[in-house]
Amino acid sequence: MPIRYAHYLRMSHIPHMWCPGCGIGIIVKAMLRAFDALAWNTEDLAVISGIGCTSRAPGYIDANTLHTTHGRALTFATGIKLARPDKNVVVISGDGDAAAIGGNHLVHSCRRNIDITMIIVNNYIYGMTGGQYSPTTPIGSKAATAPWGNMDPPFDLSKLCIGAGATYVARGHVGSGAQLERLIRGGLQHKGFAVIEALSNCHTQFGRRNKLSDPIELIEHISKNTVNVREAAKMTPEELAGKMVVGLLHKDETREEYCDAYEKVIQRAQTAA
Amino acid sequence: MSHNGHKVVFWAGNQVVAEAAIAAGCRFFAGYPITPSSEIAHIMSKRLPMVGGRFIQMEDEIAAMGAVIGASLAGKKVMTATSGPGFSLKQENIGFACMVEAPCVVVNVMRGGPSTGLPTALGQADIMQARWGTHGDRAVIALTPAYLDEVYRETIRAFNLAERFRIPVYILIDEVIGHLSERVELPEPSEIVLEERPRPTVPPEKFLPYDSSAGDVPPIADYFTNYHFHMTGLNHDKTGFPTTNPTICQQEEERMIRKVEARIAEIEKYEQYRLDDAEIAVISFGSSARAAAVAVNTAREKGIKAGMFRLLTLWPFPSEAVRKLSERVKGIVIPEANLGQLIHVIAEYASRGCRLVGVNKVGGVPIYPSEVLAKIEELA
Amino acid sequence: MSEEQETVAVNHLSEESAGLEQEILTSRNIAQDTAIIIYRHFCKGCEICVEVCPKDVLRMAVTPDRWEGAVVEVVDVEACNACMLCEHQCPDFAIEVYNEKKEKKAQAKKAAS
Repeated sequence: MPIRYAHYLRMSHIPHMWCPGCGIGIIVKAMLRAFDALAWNTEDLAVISGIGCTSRAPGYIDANTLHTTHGRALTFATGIKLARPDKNVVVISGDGDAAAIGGNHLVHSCRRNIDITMIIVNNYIYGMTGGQYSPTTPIGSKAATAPWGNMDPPFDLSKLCIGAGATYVARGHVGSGAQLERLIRGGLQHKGFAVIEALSNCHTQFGRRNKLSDPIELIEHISKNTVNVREAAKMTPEELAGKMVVGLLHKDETREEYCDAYEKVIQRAQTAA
Repeated sequence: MSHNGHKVVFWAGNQVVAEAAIAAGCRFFAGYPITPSSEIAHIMSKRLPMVGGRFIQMEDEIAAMGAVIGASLAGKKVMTATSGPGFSLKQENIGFACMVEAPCVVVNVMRGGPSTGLPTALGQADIMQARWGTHGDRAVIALTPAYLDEVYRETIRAFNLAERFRIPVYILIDEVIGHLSERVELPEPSEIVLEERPRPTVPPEKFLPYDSSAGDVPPIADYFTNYHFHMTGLNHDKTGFPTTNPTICQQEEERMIRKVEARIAEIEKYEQYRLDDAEIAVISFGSSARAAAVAVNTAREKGIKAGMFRLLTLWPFPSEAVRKLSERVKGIVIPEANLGQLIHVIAEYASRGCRLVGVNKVGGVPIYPSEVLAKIEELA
Repeated sequence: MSEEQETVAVNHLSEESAGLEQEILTSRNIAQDTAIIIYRHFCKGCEICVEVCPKDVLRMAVTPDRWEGAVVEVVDVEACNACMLCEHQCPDFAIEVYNEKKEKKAQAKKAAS
């Protein structure tokens, strides 16, 4: 019984289904450590996902868990949070789920600044369905639907969320579980829509087609191409090309949270009645 | 104004739906603007915060369906409202609600045409979509009230059925019903009986979200009440976790259908108007049935023994009653604002000797009593 | 295995872990007040922990009876400085590191939050 994690796990379902070396496990553990650091109890916690490898995470977590339709986790989470604004609502999903089919919901959740924390596991591919390119697959990479090399340009997911109004945006990666834990903890504590983009390794689908089929090599490749936000501030655009900036990228505590704003609507309506 | 101690109002159909939902205990609405249902959203946006409920206009129809399911699992009575194009978009999440067995009410104020169609005109062309719109097998409850006092009562019944059967329940009206105004006598709150979903009687450590040992509708706990369970749209067993075991998948899918279809008597509702000695029957629902009623009366004045079988539940379809009716009448006229959907359902059950004739208008103009009468006279 | 290492049924085992005593190995560095617990039955043999350990505390032990081929084992517990990298970088709940000082610090921080 892994002592540190057992409280948040459905132990009878462990070991989990992710491939040996898959970064999703690293990210989920960082999230569980973050829950533990905040002493969050499982009764008041809901964890929601869409479809994909990452979206299998809630099944392993001992909380109120919901595995929904592809791309739509945030919509269910919005209903849960608005119905119970006093509870902790966390969404975890992958790059395809969150940014392709779920893109609209991502953008609007950022806009609303509803107090949900979303972890986007960005492994640059649709893993579960066999390695098709996603909106974050790098140009030139091979994928199941890009056998001649991907020409479909990728999002900068963190920039997208900042642009859409999210008030806590951070990027971490599977090379540092400790940093991820800190960034996630900050997001959980933040009142408003928090996004933590976690760069991850799918060596089975992405790596295998791109000469990085060893999980350790792929994690090192990801790590080597990250730059901390403090360092990045001193670098030129040329130096930053091809690098992923990691750390806390954006935090704004001035915007009103969505459920708080709606509470005022209720007060106005009930006063007028 | 009041009558017999009841408040009397003069409301449009969409307002009736909204007010009835609130009377039924609905405290969460998520929707998206779409003609001719938007007034339901307008009124819910105003009324819900007044009673401590919550309203949200989501970014699209799919999101609205997701949000109501989430709020339902968090313990609220929930509703969304849409029309044809939105109904099409919602199908995947409706299937999800069926699969996880989340109570919710979905109003479809039907409009004309496929695709964008005729947004401001009536249609009744979502009959088959209501039955088979989402992929996979599922049981369906679809209520089709036509007069506004029924719309009020049936909206409340929709919420009760959703709770009783842990299923999405449709209210299928159309643009005419949604927008016409009528005198409605509101029931007193004390006259309204509300149902709640079955909740667990066992402690959390013994709870399974799909435990059907005591009946086909498993008790369900609200989120955040210390019952930790998992729900997924994947085929699952009684623990809520995914399974690919063929026997369990078969059993659970059959249970989800049986939970409704074995209890049709509790659900089905129809009006038999002047049918006792009828030789020609009209089978219809919604605004077409309102016109058909006039046609039946005119036919009677002309000496034709006509009557109407009016569906208040479209699904489950009252196949037994329709079959029996078809055995004693010469023919059935089926006015529907589409190019023939209900007629095929009736044909499946009607006896061979009974002639079936449709009245089909899809130009956005309601079916006239004279058009129904013409077909009655043809059959007579 | 050095004297410092033991195969123990850790006393917090619940009913769920019964029968898994042989699968949970605890190695103690008494001087540093550090314990490394390996849950062998959860190890998928990915070797990330061995790769990230800066002190060569771990190695992969060949396990012919398992499909993984090899699972992690502690080879030099005395070299461990409780940097936590193995635990943080393991995707699978297969290894935990407990250092008395660090745990106390974390508990204090948790109480304060």
